[in-house]
Amino acid sequence: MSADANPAGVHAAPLEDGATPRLRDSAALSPAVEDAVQGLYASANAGRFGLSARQFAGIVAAVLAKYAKGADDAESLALLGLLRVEELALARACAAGNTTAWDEFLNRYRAKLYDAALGIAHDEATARELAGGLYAELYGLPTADGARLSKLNYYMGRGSLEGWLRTVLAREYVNRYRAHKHTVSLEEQIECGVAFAAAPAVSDPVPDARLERATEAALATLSAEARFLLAAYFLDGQTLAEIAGQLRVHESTISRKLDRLTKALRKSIRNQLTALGMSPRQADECMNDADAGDLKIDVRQSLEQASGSCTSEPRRALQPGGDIEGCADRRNVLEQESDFRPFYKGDDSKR
Amino acid sequence: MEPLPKTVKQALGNSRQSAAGPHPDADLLAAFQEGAVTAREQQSLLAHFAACAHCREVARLALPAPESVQQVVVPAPAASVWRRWLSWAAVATATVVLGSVGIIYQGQHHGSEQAKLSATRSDPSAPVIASGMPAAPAPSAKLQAKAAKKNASTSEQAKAVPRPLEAAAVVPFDRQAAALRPKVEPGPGLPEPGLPEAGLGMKTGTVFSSSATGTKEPAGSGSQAAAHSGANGEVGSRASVSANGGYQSDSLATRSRAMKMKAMGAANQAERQTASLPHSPSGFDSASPARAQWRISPAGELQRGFKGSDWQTVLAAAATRFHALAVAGKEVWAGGSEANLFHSTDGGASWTRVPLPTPRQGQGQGKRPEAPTITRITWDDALHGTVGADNITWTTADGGRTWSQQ
Repeated sequence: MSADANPAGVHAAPLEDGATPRLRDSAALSPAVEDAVQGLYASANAGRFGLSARQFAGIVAAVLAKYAKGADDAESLALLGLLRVEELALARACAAGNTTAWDEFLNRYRAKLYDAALGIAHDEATARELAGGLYAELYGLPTADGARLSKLNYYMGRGSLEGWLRTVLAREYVNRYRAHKHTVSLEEQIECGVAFAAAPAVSDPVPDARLERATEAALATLSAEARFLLAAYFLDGQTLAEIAGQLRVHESTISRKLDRLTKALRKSIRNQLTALGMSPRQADECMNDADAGDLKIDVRQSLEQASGSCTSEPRRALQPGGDIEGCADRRNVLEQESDFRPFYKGDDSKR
Repeated sequence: MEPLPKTVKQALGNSRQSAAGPHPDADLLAAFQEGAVTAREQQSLLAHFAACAHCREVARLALPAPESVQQVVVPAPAASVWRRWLSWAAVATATVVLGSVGIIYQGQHHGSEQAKLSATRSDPSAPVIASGMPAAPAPSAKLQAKAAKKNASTSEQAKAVPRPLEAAAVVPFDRQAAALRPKVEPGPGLPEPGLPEAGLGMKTGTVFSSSATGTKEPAGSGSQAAAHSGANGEVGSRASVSANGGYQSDSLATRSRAMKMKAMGAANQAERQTASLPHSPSGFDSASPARAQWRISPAGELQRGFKGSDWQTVLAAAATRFHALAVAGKEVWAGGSEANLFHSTDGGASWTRVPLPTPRQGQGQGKRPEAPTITRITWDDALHGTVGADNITWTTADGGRTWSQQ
């Protein structure tokens, strides 16, 4: 069989972000890159899925155009070295409707797809729905002209196909949750006590505007990774293991980094406050006053949980599942504690 | 970890998504988690994550499940050198101690047995009794004292350095089974079935005893079986047959665990560990009276005896004069004239003749009458065994499936 033959009838399909999977000529590639692409074609064993060398080169050229636009040969070759070319060929052959490729894909990823969905949703029914929906999209949804457009055309081989599938599932799940969040029924709102919610409570005012400026200045000095760590741990409530898994380090490393970061941040904010004209003592008091808000909130939450305590707060705000204002207050409490987790996170014992 | 100042949380939460730019595609997110992004992309992604709760959430959800992460097989870190040596020392000392106990036990019965065996001892054609474990000659008082002294120190060491069980130490069953095959040397000695073991003072050979024989040891005493092993003076000896005919231990690692657990007095652990070991194919029960003894009669017949019954000749139709025998549970190897080697895995109920390449057979002109006579059968470990004739040795490296001539 000729290398350029196309027995599977691989056809073109548009890619996202303007990239095109059209099996264009790879003439735009430099000779060095073209040689590398030829080697990748052999290592990907793309021929068994009916992909010709020319078609494969077109796919790789699209990947380079998307991720290494304007890059020199060295960068392009470095990127090519990171590509999962075998999985890329498989995905594109599936998108083109190659039967052999589909058999291989189902063999490898069908169970993993469902397992990943279950790991994300923590609910069998939701997981089946999620995986089934994605599977349909992978197979290809009919377009206006009757042709199928497979989501596998969007796979570019940067990460593993399994990782890509998990990410697509996760994104789909988050998007569904968000869509669901915007369309809460009136009954659900009444149950939650927010159908006739009062105006949101004004957040605690910052004790001193200088503290806000100092904080922003201190945060601006942090690296992107440091800000990600702080946001993931303190805002999202991600566990050390989850953060470590994303950064491929041990969780104790994350713990140490976070410890250093919080200490350094306090010190930096204090220095910024003193630079803004506060005395060291004033800076400490300012920061303590700001942090006292957390303490007050914790006390309120404890009182709410006690639900029978006698406090100066209105009783309606202390009863869980109580009236409108109580519900709104509890949500504020949770959000202000930065311990808020969306309800779709199945695991509550992460931290 | 110190709590984050509230103002920092607020500032982080107020980060504008618009400042983070467009969401990275699923390819980049997957590549990020797999470490397949360039440094520039990594920085860009982290900056986006710092400001985009949506992508942080997606990235968190897209992490592989912990179960699949745990499937990665990570080799156990090597134990430190001193711990390794300490472990071996504990094994060796425990073996010596147990051996001493066995020797003392045997010594108590030596006098009465000698009287019964005196006639046999004087018989130059006394046969070999092989029923599992070779017995050792009585050690000197000095050796016993030394062993007792070592015992005290090693028991403490074993207590002080408990070592967790390691999956890597588990030895496949075939190795365990083969490791239990004792070395059998031809020699005289002809105790009748049902009599206490005769083992000392035989003319040339060694009289073997083990709990599998059921002749002398109290039933259900796995530790005494180990004591017999130690009595042979074989530190780290290969065979240790439990009272129920099961292989109590095979490799040194496995035996080490068992002995350590004894030393620690962890009876429940010992039970679990014993239960985790594969059972002997013999199926001998400690309560069962049908525990076989094996011997080669003066006439060169392979005979099996049970307690309270007469010796029965097996393989009578083989027309072979037997000279060597090795027994472990129901695993029996017997060899004799004309390079005839027989193997039974069911206590002698059925036999398989194991062909050995003889010099003439190897040259395509072999004749059976000229074949050498097997005089010894030894096993170095689970897989490696040796069958010896006068001037020929056959070895196997696969537990006896194939043999090669040396």
